[in-house]
Order: sequence, then C-alpha cells, then structure tokens
Amino acid sequence: MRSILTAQQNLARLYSRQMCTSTYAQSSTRISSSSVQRGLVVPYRFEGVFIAKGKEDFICTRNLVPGEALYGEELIFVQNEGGTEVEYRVWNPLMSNLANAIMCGVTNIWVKPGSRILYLGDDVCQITLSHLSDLVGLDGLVYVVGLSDVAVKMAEKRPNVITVFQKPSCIGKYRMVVGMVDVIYADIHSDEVHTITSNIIYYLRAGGHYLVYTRASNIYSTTRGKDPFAYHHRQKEFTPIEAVMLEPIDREYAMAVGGFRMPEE
Amino acid sequence: MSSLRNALPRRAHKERAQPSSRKKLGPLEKHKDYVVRAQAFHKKEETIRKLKEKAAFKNPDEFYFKMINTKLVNGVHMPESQANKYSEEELMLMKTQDIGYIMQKIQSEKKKIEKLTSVLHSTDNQPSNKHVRFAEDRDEAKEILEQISRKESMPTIDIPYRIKKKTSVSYKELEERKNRLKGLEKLYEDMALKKELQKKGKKRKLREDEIVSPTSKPVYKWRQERKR
Repeated sequence: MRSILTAQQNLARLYSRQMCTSTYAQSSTRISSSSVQRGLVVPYRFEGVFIAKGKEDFICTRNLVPGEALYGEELIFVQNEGGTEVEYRVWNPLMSNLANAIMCGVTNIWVKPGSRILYLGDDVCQITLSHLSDLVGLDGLVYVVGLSDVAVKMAEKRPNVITVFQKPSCIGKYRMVVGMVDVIYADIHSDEVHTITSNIIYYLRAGGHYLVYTRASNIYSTTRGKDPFAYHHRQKEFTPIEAVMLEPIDREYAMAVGGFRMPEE
Repeated sequence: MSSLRNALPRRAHKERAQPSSRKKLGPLEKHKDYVVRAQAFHKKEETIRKLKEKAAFKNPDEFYFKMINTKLVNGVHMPESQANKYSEEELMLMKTQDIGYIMQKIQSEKKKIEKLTSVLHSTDNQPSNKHVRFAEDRDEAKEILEQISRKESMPTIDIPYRIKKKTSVSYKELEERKNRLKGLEKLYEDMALKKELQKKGKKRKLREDEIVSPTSKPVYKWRQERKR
C-alpha cells in the first residue's frame, strides 16, 4: 500500500517538474521514436499542452498512463536531456472540441495542472476527457457526470478521474460526490441550458470559469431569448470572456468561455 | 623434359586490354566479339534482302480471306476494330467493375487523408475563424485590443530548418491526396452518370435555359415513373 502511495507521489512530482510556462519556452526536447522521427516537442500556449513538429505536426498532451493509446491515437516518445523517456499523446482537433478550440485561438482555457474540473456531458466522448485528465495531472481531479460507460472504464486506469453515472440535470443527486471545482467544461446539447447554469451555480467556485460548447447562433443573436446565459449576465453572476467559433472543422458551433462571480477589480 | 620445365614457373602472357584513354568505350573487342557482331549484322542484311526480293515479286492478283475486313493505312495493315466485341451485359459488368475499382481507390484515399489529418493539425496557421471577446467597458476593450496586437508580434518558436522541411513535405502530401480524391470523385460521378444513361428509362437532356446551376457537363432529367 505504501509503495503505491510513494509511486504516485513520485509520479506527481515528476509531472510537476515537467510544467513549463505558457510563453514559448526555449527548452525543447528532441524525439527519438519511430513514429515522429527526429522531431521536436515544444510547449504550446497553455500549461500541459505541447506541439510536436517533425514529419507530422500535431498538438499533444503528456500521457498520464504511459504506454496506452485509448482510441488508436499515436504515442510519441521523447528523450529528455536527462535521458529519461517521456510519452505524449496526440490530441486530435477533429475529434475533440477542446483541441479544436485551442487550435482556433482561445486565449485561455483555465485548465492547469492541479486544478479540479467538472466535465458535463451526455454520451461522454472519452477523447476530451482523457486529455483533460492528462492536462490536470495527478494533483488535480476530473469529475465526469454523464451517462456513459466508456468514462467508467477509463476511470479504472486513470487515478484522477471520478465518474458519476448520472444525468447532469439532476444536480442534487451527485452533490455528495462532487466538490467545488475550478473549471466546468460542458458538452451538452445546448437547448438544455438550465442544466449548465444550475451546475455552474452549484459546483463552480467563485472566480472559477466555464467552457461551454454551444451553437454559434447563441453568441451572435441579439434577441434576449436565445442567449443562454442572458439572465445571469444581467445579474452580473456570469461574465462572458470570449467565444471562439470552431469554424473550418465544426461549422455553426462555438466554445464560449466565461467566469463565475469574478471578483471586482 | 616437361617436368623440369614445369618446375620453373614461366610468366603467363596477358591479353591486350583497352587503353586507358579509350576506357569509356568499353572492353577491347577481340576476335570472338567481332564474330558475334558480324554474324548478327549479316543475318539482318540477309533478312532485309529476302524481304525486298519478296516485295519485288509480289503477285498483284493475290487474295487472302483476311483482306475482306482489313485495310492498308499508310502501308500498315489495320485489323478490324476491337470495339463491339462484347455484348451489352458483359459491357455493363465491366463498367460496374470499373466503377467498383474507382470506389475502392476513393475509399483508400479517404482513409489515408483521415490518417494524415489526425497528425497534421496545422499548428502554424493563423486561425481563420471568428473570435468574439467580451469587455465590460471601453477601457477593457482597448486593453484587449492591445493584448491582441502584442500577441501577434510575439516571436515564434525556432524550429530547425530540416524539421520545417519535413513538415512542409507532409502538408504537400496531404494537399496532393486531397486533390487526387477530388479528381477520383469527379471521375466516379461521370462514370455513374454514363451508366445511368445506358439503363432503361425515359430521360431528356436539359436545355441551357432550364439548367439551374451552370455546369460544363450536360444535365439530364428522368421522367417520373412509379417503380414497383
């Protein structure tokens, strides 16, 4: 039992040392595996997100469960200067909305190693979930609320994922499991806005942020009825920060980022 | 005696070789090489002589049964055309096989493109989509604008030249595959249309003024017939 704990702690420490700043750092690690032959892995704009350049050119995260590719994506091995091998997983923007948003130029996703995330979704797609768990690292937590068995399977391998097999609209039913979170990522059909808002009010800490995948028409239309968070905007509880249209890949959809009960500056 | 002569080894005489100034012409030709060359030449000469003789003694009234369907075009025999050797069903079968093959190629190209796009996210390109930012008041809006301009002038990562070359090669490959897919799909559509035209069913060609979206290819309209 103690050996597992120490092993986990060691892993967490290793992971925290890998954190780089969000500016373009000079330190880049060379790759020496067969899939990305002699390329470069460089940290991208956010902590925990990297870009690999070589024969291929993709965005990736550091693999929390080394040696395992969940949905057939590529794994690349990197030789650090110290001689240790680090493994990264490709994050496909065509399949994951969050990666799409990052490629489309979101200024900040507010997900850092060590933060707690609540992932709301019906029929949860394991791709974004697995990468969120990679990003957050062993110090952080990802609560997944949704009716999906795939997420449950993933939680067996990843120690920082907690699955709640429940509809996201029944916020009371999982209040015993889920604590206060820093970020809420909502991938729900955008007509059920009240689920997102009630989850935000209940579980998001003051000063936390939310990332919502909605239709683009909700952002652009001026009629009050369409904007899902109009009431809360008026109440000054939700402050919208930005919205990125996920254009070439996903027409008509956008990722809206906002803050909850942001402190007055 | 021969055994005493064999005791002292005599220097072996070497064959004459090609001089070094003429090395580019190949090995020096010996008598055996000359013989091969000469025989080939004379054989060809002999054949040409015999053919000329035969042509000179040609019978102008000659007749062969194959002359009925063949013609002499510029002195060369043209056999009858290979066009209508197959029956209708055989032709249709072969056309379906052609279409099937093209479909196979289309699908394999699609799969390859999928594989390539899963690892080629264009990370360098500036995003071409809209980005909406919300600000509380004008001051914050100005701040945001400044932030954006500062970000754009930020230096990019230094990537060694050979890696940049590799990435650009991969992107070119992706482009070429996409173009190829387009061409294949066009071809498939043409072949499918031709096949449909050969089937039964009353159809007519639309005139220029009836066509809704102008295309270079002819547009057909089938009559409404209730299928069983």
